[in-house]
Amino acid sequence: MEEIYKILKDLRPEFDFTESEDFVEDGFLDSFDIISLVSTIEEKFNVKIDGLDVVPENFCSAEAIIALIRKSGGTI
Amino acid sequence: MEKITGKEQIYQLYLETIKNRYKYSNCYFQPDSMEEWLKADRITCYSSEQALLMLVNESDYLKLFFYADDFEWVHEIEKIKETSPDTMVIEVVTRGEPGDYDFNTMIACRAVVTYERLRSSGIPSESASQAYFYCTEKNHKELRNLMDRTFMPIGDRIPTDAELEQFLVSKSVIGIREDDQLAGFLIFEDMRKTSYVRMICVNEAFRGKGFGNELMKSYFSIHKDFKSFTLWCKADNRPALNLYMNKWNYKRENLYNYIFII
Repeated sequence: MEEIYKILKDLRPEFDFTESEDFVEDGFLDSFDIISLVSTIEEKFNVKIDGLDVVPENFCSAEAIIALIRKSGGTI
Repeated sequence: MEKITGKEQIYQLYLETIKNRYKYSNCYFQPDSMEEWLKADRITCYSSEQALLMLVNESDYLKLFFYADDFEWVHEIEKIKETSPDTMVIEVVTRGEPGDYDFNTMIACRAVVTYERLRSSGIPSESASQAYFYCTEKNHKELRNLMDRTFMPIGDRIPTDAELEQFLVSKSVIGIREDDQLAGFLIFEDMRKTSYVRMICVNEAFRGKGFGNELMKSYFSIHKDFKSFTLWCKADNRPALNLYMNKWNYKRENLYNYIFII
C-alpha cells in the first residue's frame, strides 16, 4: 500500500491521497495522470495492463490500483 | 484502409482495439463517449492491421482519433479525404515536444495551435473580490456572442449551447458588468478538490483595465476550499502565461495539447 501512495505522491505531490475516498471523483487524478500512472505501474511491477482496464474505477483508490496490478499478473 | 460499416461492428472493433493497447493513441475518452457517437451517427471508422482511425463529426470539422502501432496510416489520409473532404483535426496531448506525434514530419500538417497546462496547488493571497455575479440563462446570448467572437471553434473548447446551459444552471459561470455590458466572464469546472478554468474572457472593449484579474480573484474567492487548480493556456500567449504563473501561482506541468489540421 505504501508503495502505491509513494507513486501517487510523486505524481501529484499537492494531495494527501490517504485522505481521499475516490482519487478520480476528488479530482486528484485526471485522465492524463492515469495514463502516466499506467506507464509507471507497468514499469515498476513488470506487468502489462489490459486496455479495457484503463478506466477510472480501477484508479479510484490504492486498493483498486493494487487489485489491478494483481489482476495484471503483478505481485504487491 | 478498410472503411468499417455497422454500429455493432465498429463498437466491437473499438473494444478489441483498446484491449490490445496500441503503442500510439490520442483517444483519451471513455467507452461511453464512443457509445454516444455511435448512437448519434457521428462516427466513421477505418481499419487496418496496424491502426484504427475514428472520425467524429463535430459541427465544423471532423476530429480524428487513432490507435496505431506505427504511423503508416497518415499516408492513407488523402484517400480518406476523397470521400470525407471536411477539415480534419488531430489533437494530441504529450509531455514536452510532440516527438512521435509530430505530423509535420510525416505529412504536410502543422500544429495550428498549442496549449500548455498549468496547475496551482494553493489559493493566492490576493483572492477577495465582490465584483462578480453568477451568470444565468438571461446572460446566455451575450456570453455566446462574446465567446464566439473571441475563441477559435477548433481547439478552444467553446461550450455548446447545451453545455453552457448546464454551466449556468450549476452556477459555474461568473461575470463582471461595466457600463451595463458584460465586461468579462469565467467558466469553471469543479471536481471536489480540483477546479479547472475552462474559459476566461474579457470583452475587447474593456481589456487592459484589470477585469481579467478581477475575474481570477473572484474565481479563487469562491474556491477557498479547493486544493488544486488547472487551466490550459495557449503556449505562445506569453502575457497570459506570465500572469498566471507570476500573479496566480500556477506552474507549468510540461503537458502540451497540440492541434493539427489536415
